[in-house]
Amino acid sequence: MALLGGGALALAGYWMQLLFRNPLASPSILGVTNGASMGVALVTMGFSVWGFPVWPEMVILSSLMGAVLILFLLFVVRWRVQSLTGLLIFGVMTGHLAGAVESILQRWTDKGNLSGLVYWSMGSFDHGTLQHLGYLVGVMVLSIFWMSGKAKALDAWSLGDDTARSMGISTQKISVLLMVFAGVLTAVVTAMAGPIAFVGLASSHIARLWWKGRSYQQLWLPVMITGMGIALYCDLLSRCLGIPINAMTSLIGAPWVMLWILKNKNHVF
Amino acid sequence: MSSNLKYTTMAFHMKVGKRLISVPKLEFGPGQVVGIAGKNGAGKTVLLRHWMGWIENSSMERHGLWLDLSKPIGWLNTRREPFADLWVEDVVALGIQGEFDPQAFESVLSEMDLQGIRNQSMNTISDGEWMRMMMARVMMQKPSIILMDEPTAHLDFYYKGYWAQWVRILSEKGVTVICASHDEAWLKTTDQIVGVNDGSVHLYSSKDFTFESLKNVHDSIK
Repeated sequence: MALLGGGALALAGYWMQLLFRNPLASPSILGVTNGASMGVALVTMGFSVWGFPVWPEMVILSSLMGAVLILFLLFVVRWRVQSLTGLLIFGVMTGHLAGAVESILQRWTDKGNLSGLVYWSMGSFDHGTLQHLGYLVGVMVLSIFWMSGKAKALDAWSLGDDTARSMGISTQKISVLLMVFAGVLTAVVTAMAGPIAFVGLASSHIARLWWKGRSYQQLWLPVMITGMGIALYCDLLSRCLGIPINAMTSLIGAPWVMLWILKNKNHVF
Repeated sequence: MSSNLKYTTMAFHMKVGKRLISVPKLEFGPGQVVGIAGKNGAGKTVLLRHWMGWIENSSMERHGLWLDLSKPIGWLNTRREPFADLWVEDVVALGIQGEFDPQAFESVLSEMDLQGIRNQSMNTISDGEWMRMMMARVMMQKPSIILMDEPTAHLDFYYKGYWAQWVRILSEKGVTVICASHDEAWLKTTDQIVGVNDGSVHLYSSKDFTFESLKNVHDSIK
């Protein structure tokens, strides 16, 4: 479970970095994870208030809607906010908004639900059922195959809109594909394991440290493997130390990103 | 990379800021080197983007710009893309059209002197190497026409000369080159100059072209 979740998050992060052409883009930083968890909170709480049963499919679907909503918002403002820094801040803010909605919901709900949601938001790869796993494997296989068919277009896309378009690549199609698949993978993992930070952000950068190839075709598998490794490692550590997995990835990931920024002084964000 | 294609652009109106500029029907022959001149903000880039079909315009059909669209149109962009992270040879390989021809690929790499850095990340190479890499990518596309937007603006004296020489070689092979430029010395060496003025676009002969001949009244000193 940790393996698959980590791999999916790593790919989602890699695709979002491609989509926004920014090394700091990731599901957790741009608020997509928050959007997904807002969706989950809305459905689990709303439904329990009205006394409806909550199916896992509903949770996944609501998480998906939350994630895609945020991604779509970001993507629309991408054309209006020219600077990438502005876009990142926009993403962080939408994340805050989604978080606010979530905490309002938490305030209104009853205690039993609240504790369930708080446990869920700590993240754990234990909750997933075989059914969850099936969905995750399904969307992963589908998106990996689809994207591998676009490997050349993705490389061209990274060189900028103009260069890509001059090679006859539909930039609109590529960006929609990246957005949808990044959103779907984030949503499915979040619905099953709670919001998990940093795996999506760090995996592609760590993969570049140990793998030489740079084109999409060469890099997607190392990125996925790296994500699997990080998730498995954090999962094991969190079990041994009794720390929730979300805290674990943050404890390891945050200092790592700080160091990385300090080291890459010349990099343009 | 040889051709005897004539390119005819359609007449249309383009919006630059708040001004409407009328662009006449123009014809460019094979191997012609065409400069686009105009002051900053005059609309050189907008004109190029219209010709590439990237700006939707109701006064012309979206992609019906060039007479022959079956041949690829090259676009040379030498400005660095800070996020992109590919190997130099990956970038060149993006230009491959149809079946991969390893011999042609190697000859382009050696022609642009990229063999030594082919397995380097594009983030670690110099601006001049970057330009050569992008040139090699365009050459792999084997276009019969190449458009460029101020490709030498940030380059040093040596690479400006390198680029000009490259353009001359392409032109001798029959490739039409259209390039927006601020470099008056280079513009003088072209076959013809498209001058973007305040309200219209005119064709100038390059011999007697000066920037003063452009009729940009809106920013003249009063």
